[in-house]
Amino acid sequence: MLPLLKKPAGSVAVIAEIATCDRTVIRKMSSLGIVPGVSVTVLRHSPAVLLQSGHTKIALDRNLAGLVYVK
Amino acid sequence: MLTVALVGNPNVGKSLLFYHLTGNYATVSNYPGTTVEVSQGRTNLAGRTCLVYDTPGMYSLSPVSVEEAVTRRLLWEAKPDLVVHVADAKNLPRMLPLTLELLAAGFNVILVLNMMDEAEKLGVRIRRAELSRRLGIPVLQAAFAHGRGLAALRREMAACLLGGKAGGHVCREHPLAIKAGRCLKGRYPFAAAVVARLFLEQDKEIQAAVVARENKAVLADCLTLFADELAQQEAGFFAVWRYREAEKLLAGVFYPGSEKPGGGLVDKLTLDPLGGLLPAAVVLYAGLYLFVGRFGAGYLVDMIEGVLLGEIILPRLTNWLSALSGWPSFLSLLTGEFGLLTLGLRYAVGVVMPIVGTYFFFFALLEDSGYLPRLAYLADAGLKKLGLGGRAVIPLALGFGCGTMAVLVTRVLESRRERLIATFLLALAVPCSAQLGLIMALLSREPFALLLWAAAVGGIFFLAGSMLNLLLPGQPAQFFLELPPLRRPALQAILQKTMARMRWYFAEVIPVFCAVSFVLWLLQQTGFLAALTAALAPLLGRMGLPPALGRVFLSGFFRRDYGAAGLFDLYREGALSEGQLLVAAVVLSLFLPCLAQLAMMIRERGLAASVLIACAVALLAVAAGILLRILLCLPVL
Repeated sequence: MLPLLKKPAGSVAVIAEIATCDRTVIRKMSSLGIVPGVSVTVLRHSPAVLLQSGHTKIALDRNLAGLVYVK
Repeated sequence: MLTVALVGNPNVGKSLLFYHLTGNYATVSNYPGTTVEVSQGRTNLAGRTCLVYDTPGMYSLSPVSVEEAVTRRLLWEAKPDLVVHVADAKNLPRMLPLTLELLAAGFNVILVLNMMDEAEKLGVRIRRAELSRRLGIPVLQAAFAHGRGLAALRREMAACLLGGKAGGHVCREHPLAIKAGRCLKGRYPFAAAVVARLFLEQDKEIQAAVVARENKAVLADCLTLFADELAQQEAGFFAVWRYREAEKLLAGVFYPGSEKPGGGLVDKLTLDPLGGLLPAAVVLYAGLYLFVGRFGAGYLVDMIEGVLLGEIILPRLTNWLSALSGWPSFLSLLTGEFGLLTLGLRYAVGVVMPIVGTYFFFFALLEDSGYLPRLAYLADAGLKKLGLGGRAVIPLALGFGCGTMAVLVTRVLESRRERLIATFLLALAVPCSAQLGLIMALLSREPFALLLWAAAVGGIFFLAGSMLNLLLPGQPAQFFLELPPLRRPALQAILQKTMARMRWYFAEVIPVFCAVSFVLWLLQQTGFLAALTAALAPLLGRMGLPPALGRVFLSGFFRRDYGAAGLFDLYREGALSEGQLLVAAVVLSLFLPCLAQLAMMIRERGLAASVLIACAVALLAVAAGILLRILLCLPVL
């Protein structure tokens, strides 16, 4: 398991864990489809983290993206 | 009456469906959260009138945002006879968990796979009939933007409403929640399993409803058992479970087609911090400067206010009225210096309408093309320094159209802190389109003055935002957003949206303009205007401005654009030097929000915060004026 922020742009990763106890953050993430087991492609790291999940692009700022761990 | 609720994620076409069903246009756009208020309309299904609700975007029954809370409350309280779940077909795996929740709650559901055209282009294939069989509910494919699937949906809705609940579907809820649901004895609008699950997820509203209905001792015994069991699990346990269930349901039914991870030229140009500058600059230059500034504020204002009203209609009306009436003060009320017709209506129709109209058109184009979320992505890092997230691009950009509407739209922001900062910046340093158009028209003869004006107002914007970010307690903003694909906007939808906003604007603006004209006329007739203007004179003098501007600032408080229009007149009369014009333009841009915006601020942020903001803005505007006078070496008057 490693932090999502460590994955280079262009790589594919499977979400393993959202490392927070904040329910609101968990719900926000799951509303966007960032749920353990889902595979995402890291598209960009700046100006904010950009992921592709299925046919959607999802933008997360670095603080939120820092909570995501992948396999 | 039978009731139908249209439910689904933001931006899946609910409002468009609502419009098709009811003929009543609610705002449809690519930005999550613009349908902030629930729209209601009526439609005829199978010979019966049905009440249709267009609900704010919702991702799940566990609300995160105000919009979601509103939608859930509506489902809980109105208990609609039919729920139409509108989903984005290409992202079905992410949409289906909500369908499962709605079914588990016990609703009569139709699932609509909308935007099939986009999905098909991406190679997505869905075995609709099989999905319908697995879920036990009607599943339809549609592309509302092209009118596809509407007739079939109407038929299906009628059948569902008349035939009662479609039988056979299993309630898709986690076994733990189902067991916990057996503890509940009271009657609830949602199935007991869902109520119990929301209770265990510590949903405050649901907990209150449960506590009010249940025997406390039983509740404590029964539910705490499950709460302990849940505590062993990971956070987001139920949500993850729903995703797994959705995945299982979609196996062999949903084929995602070719996933094209972004990286095309368009994405490079709209998402790269450097590459993105180019389209942003082009959009701002072409949209704001050329279209709104030159075309709206220049050409259209000249045609409507200058030629049509100024040379043709108003002179004739004035002549005709003066021939009719022998009572001069009544005549001056209508056609005098502050006349209802010559001032109020002339500004509203001749000056403000073309500018605001062109801005709303431009903004609707931005919204419907899907470019705004990309702008939000690019702006996030910069806005974070002001304590705002990328999302704040929406109210701030709309503020360049109409600040009043923008204050309403600050609801899309997550936290109270962000809403407060955005409201303050809108009040202080975001001139509305009417002001902007007039100021650009005034200053564009001197490009250097325009640059100075932009630097002054922009500098104050960043300074004020950074200060607020430092001073206000609370968490920094979080930014997370779905970026929809860029789409070619449909002209009809843009025109409809522009018209809807224009109607809203006019319902509010014409009465205010007329009221302002009347109050000014009254103040002039009674001599108060001269006294007030005189009282402002020393303050204006310190900013190097002539006393005549007092009237402009007074009227500017009633409506900012109205004040700018007054400035326009003064300048045309030659009463201001270039330097004075610059100071006046800056002070007026910063000065108190107009009456309508203040009223909206009080409604959205409360009285105390609004008064505080208004006082701070007035002080800052005066301070900036004095400072600018000193920097420009203008004499004190």
